[in-house]
Amino acid sequence: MPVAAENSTRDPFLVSATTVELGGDPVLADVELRVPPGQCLALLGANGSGKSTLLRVMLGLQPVTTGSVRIFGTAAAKYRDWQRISYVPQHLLASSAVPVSVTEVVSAGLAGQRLRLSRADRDAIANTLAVVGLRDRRKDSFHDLSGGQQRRAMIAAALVKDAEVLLLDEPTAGLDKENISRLASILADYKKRNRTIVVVTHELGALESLVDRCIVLEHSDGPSIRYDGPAPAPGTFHDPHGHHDEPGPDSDELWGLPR
Amino acid sequence: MSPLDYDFMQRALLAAIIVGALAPMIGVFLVQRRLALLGDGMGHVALTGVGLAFLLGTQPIATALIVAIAGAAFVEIIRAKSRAVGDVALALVFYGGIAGGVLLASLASGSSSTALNQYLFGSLATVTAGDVVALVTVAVVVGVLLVLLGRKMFAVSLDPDLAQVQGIRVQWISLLISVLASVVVVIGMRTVGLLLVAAIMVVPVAAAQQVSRSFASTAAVAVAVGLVSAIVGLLQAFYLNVPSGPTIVITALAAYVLAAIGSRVIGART
Repeated sequence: MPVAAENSTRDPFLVSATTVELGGDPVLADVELRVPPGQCLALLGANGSGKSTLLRVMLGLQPVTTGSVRIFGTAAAKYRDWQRISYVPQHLLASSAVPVSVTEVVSAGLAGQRLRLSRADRDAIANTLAVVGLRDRRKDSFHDLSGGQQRRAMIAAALVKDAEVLLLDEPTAGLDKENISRLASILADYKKRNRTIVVVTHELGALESLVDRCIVLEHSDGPSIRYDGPAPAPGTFHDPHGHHDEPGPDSDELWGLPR
Repeated sequence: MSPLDYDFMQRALLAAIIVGALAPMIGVFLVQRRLALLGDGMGHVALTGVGLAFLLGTQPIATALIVAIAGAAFVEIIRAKSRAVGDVALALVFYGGIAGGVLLASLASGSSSTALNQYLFGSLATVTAGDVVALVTVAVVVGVLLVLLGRKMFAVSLDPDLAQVQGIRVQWISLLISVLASVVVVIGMRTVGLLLVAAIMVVPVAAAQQVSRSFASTAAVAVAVGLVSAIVGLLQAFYLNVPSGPTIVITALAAYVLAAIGSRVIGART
């Protein structure tokens, strides 16, 4: 879709004619995506459809083979105003080598902005831990938490920044029903304040009522985006193998999403 | 006579205290990034600096510092450019470092193998007053950098992608961590020696991991273990008349064994 020039710096993300190849294999093909401010967008698709890759492309973490990515109107590689953007990755790379406390994981969400944590920062960290229900685990080692608790700690690390755009990669993986609805209400609150949410998920489940727009990705010979429209996406999308990148041995409960 | 009645022991002790405190502070980042052996490689590379200093008649600490920092930058560029061959490329750099060091030192003079030994395994008698000034200066610079950039270094070590989305220049911070590791190697080469200095970065952290639940407490305990090992090891070396590197490292290893047993005992009780 054509984008009016005066709007381009307001749009959190603009992905144009983008293709990503890894080792010669196409992972994403011909992606066109404009995310306007205030939208709650879900990226759906089976394993290998490129939905997590697209999220990383939008953040400039994944180099593109062709095409361009703009964040608030600036080329992703040159974008600097990261205070406006928060990201929940699927896993933390190095959470087990040296013990890291839950509070330290959350405080890493502010590491780019401040040399030292202020009292207000510490209060914000404590409040955010309460919001995700981990206040009593704050001094524990992140590595000792269950998979679902780790996910909640990572969500807290993104929320503590209070950014205007929030990107989440499989935030419901490993969460039990109670914590999925807790996440849904956190995101609903975020959305009420007219913030932008992009969530990569395997299934919408309890998040469906929040989502303004669904994009379904599919790995095929043609363009990656197979559906772009209001939720719910047409019911043909179904992953017969179920999902699990790595649920972890001790998820809060097995994948209790209604089908 | 008490060991501290000797001027050379006072200087050696000061040098050991500096490396005992600083090395684990950098080591905790290396361990978290799973680069525990990087310090070892930097020690090999610094050896070329020492050999070069013998040949040119320059100050060994300054020369080793320059060569080690250049080596760290080179290794970091290799790591960034080519993840696949990084492992082998690092090995090439490291072995090149030790071979170059021995070769250059041998070219410098026939009698320098003893002198080289002092740099390889540490020696009490070699720390000069000028060295102490250089070590204190470098230590202050490292300390200031840690205060200013420690939280960014932590974020990059925890998850580089997450750090990048915080606006942190991940490659620069990675480079900084490697450069700081090479600086610590050079700080430690007089007392612990280039072959063992990486141990004082890593072993106290390994001991601290056994009893800690957070990054900050791991770092604090590791510094305590590093300090105690440096001081106790230095005194052992004095009384046994042996090089100080091995005694310092064996003391740190003993601390690791104690911590590992202690954490098992406490873990079994709770």
